Amino acid sequence: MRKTMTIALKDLRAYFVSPIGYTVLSVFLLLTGWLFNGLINRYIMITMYYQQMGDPSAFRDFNLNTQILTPFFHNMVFVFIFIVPLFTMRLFAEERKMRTDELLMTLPLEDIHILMGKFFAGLSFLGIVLISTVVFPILLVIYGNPDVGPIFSGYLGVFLVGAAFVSVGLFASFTTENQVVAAIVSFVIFLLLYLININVPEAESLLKSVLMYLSLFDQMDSFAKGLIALPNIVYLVSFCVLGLFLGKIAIEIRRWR
Amino acid sequence: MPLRFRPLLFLGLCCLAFGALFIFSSQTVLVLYSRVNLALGGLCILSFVAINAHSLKTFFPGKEARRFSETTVYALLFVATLAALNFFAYRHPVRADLTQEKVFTLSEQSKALLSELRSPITIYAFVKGGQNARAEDLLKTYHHYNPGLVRYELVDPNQRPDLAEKYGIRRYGIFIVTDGSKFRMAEEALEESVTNAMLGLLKTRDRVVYLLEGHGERGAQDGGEEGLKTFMDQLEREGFRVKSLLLASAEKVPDDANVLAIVGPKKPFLDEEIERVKAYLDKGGKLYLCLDPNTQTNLEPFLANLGVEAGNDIVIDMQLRLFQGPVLGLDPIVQDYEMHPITKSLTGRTLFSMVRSIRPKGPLPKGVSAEPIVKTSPASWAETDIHRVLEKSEATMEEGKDVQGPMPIAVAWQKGDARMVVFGDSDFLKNALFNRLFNADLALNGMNWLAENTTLLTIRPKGGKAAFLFLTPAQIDTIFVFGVLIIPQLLFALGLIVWDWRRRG
Repeated sequence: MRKTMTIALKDLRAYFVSPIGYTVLSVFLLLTGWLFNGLINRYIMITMYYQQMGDPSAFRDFNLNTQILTPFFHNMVFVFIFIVPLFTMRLFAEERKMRTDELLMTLPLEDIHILMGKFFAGLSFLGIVLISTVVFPILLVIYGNPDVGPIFSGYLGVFLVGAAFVSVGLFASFTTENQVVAAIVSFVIFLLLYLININVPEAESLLKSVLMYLSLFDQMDSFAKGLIALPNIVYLVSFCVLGLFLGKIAIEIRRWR
Repeated sequence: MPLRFRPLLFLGLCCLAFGALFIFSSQTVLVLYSRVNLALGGLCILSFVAINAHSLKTFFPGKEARRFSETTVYALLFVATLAALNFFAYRHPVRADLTQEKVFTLSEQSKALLSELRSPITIYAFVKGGQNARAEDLLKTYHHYNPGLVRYELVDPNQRPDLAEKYGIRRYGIFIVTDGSKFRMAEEALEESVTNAMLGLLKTRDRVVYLLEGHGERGAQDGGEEGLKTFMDQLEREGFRVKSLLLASAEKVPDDANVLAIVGPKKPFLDEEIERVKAYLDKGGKLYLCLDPNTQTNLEPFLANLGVEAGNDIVIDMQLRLFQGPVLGLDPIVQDYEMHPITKSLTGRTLFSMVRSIRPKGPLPKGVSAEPIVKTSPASWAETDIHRVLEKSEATMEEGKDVQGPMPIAVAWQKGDARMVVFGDSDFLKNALFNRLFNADLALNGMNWLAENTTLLTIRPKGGKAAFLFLTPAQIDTIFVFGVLIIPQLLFALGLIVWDWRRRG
């Protein structure tokens, strides 16, 4: 555990002694903030429209949670697709580029230490990214009265999706020494999983159920609405574990050579 | 020895991967694509292995080959375990609802009903474009409580005209609960509505409508302009069974009758027949009555005793004529409905032809409620000189003799369990008019109100916590500054400082 933590701390520190960490963080905040502000403006416009129409029944499903928070969490996952590859690509590919990988592999460390250390570094950075977005729900609580339960479930969902992305990004980083290739591979995998449900067949079938189940958007939807369901958690955790498993195999294959 | 024809290997792998994508497809072209690819891929790889058989043996020396196969088996097992775990969780969807109003949790009544299911049911939501988050969340919740027996599907009625036709869908937002043979309709995306439809489907036998014959009533099987075939077919589709009844030869109205319908009688009823109708109502029966003007059926005094007056008149009202605009005539187009379950969902006009006035006759007997539900326009009046209207096509409103509108032309009556709907017209039900404007809705709502399950559940509607945001322009700007600008700005600055510090070493 101590060995894992050492690696994790070293890599986490690396994010903040180079401009990469700050750039990723600020770009992420800028994007989510921009989208959040768009949601607020849209909400205010629709409220005004309904008030002019004088139709109180229209308000039944129209509240801060359904109109701002649910799409806010979906937006965050969407921005992750572009941002996570940027900070996972360097996790191992950087070592190769700097030729420190040989050194790392010859240290008295097991593969699992290297793997988990890198993973925790990415995960901690993800945590920092998420904490920095808390300002948005806080602004909502200050000015409005949203239902708080769904904020917790939303963050849990976003964190699990993020963790799954980090593990896949880490795997991509183990497979190549070119950071750009690592980023593109993870980006394509995320985007494909996010959009997999747009081409489902019309009719009910096994294929349709499987595709709908694999879709990250659908898996995220319950969390964003305030529902924590076991299948969603199991799916995201398995996704994460699979990424780590593939990463481990990638290291093993390196060792054979 | 180097491997030869390496492109064969990559081509084969690509063919296998793309072929596998559509292996379970049901579409002919895709199946063909998949099979051709799989065959081609297999062929490429086999040829590659055959060509390089000798080199491959040396390429994978014993130890590496073993490692490779071990890892593959290990990986496959691992993926299979994960898939099994996911399947298990999918089948056991434990969950926690964090919303304050418990939007994703069903009421105890609904849960009890779902746990009593013995055979599969399907819930269809007919929504625009086949997409509606609210409807989907609601149906997912039903599915969650009994995933084995509750199926659901969101349907765009325009893309599935077969289903829309089968269930008589006339607008968006309708839910159909069906067990494959029977079905019930729910009109709103609310738990109360859907659970009651389910209750109706599971707990009640077929609803039977007896259509009275023998007094020149409109015919149930008559497919001509004047017949009721369209109406009857629609009733069958909504889960009613229609039987005919000749009251003069029957001892009484049969016990299995949920509704007795008398549509447009022209000849007078015998006293014994009226007695039988009265006995049926006294037992809590339901009567659907349509009386045309200019007929004497002997039912009028019977109705008067119950507190409903069928006027001996004919209603003259505005009607729209092509190229003439609104003129006075005998075919009123009506859009004035009173609040009542029958008229609640009517959003447009209904079209009648030759109507008499039907109104509550005060003082009402004890325990009776009688409400007018449909009224003609204020410009209309009830003309008592029917012969002049019909023979000379003339009518003038005469104070004292005629009654100025709006004229009620339909009444919903209730006394204990007994219910009755009386319309002053039967033409609006005939094949020629049934599907015009909102006639079908009015006719079917009336029948549904009569045959309604009186043990309906009430479930409070849930729609998420009512949380709103009202902001001044200054507050909007504050959110923009704190949400979008300040933190990224500080981070950028910090990034630049670190970058500069690192560069200078």
